[in-house]
Amino acid sequence: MLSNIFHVNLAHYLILAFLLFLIGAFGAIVSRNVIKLLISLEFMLTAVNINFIAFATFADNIKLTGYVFNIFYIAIGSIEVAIALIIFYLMYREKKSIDMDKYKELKG
Amino acid sequence: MNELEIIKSITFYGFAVAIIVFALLTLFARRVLYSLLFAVILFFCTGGIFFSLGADYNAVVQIIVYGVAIPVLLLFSIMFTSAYEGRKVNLAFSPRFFVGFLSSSLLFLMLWYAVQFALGISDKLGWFFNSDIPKANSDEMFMAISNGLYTNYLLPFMLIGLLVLIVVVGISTLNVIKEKKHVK
Repeated sequence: MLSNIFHVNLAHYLILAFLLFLIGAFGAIVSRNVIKLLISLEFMLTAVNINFIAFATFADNIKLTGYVFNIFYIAIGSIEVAIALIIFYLMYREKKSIDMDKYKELKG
Repeated sequence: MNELEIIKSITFYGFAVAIIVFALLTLFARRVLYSLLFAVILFFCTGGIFFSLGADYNAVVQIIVYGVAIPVLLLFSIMFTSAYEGRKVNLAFSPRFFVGFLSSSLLFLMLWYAVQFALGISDKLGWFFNSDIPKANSDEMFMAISNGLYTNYLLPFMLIGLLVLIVVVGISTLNVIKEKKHVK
């Protein structure tokens, strides 16, 4: 698979996205700060973006569907950040704290 | 192996190492502002990865949205909320640290197995994955994506616009309702 390390192919991009996704998942579990949690979620979204572009380039770069979907995905990611931030801000006004451990109402 | 291939691989490895290092730095930085700064550098490096894949349009969108717009939002929320205990809140150590470590290493094993399995199958079957990055004319690609957004992909484009409108109205409504409650 990685026989020639200087010949960059699909596997390299997949492994990069996979490591970034892992770091994002780890950060989303571990971080107590809400902003850091959101940044970790963004890392996971970015990893998926890299996968989208890698597959779009290596499998099919004539129809452009992967590239266009990536743009929609970025738009949806930014919408998600806006909603998460307004929820965080409303919670912050109640609690006066950015500590995730104090947001017990969000446990469900 | 020609020189172009070496240059491509050096570009890829540079951006990839930068992405992994800045992701780790973001997690373990002591102040939130620094972690935001490292995250911005990471998003720019992701734009570089997209450039190296030949997806210029997506790289530009990535840098504009993820590299500039979202960090501004996050920066303002840091500025509004860092009055109390801004520096103290960082990472959660035991037992949550170990739970996170264990679950992400389990995820690592599963995904590693999945990637190996999928690539093995695609090698055996000789699927349609090109082994090299195909050359795409970037001018033509810009035109094709820009035209496609208004022709073939018009419906999803309109739906995303509608979604953005709903989110803007919803966020301002949430804020107004909450403020009225506070007044009472």
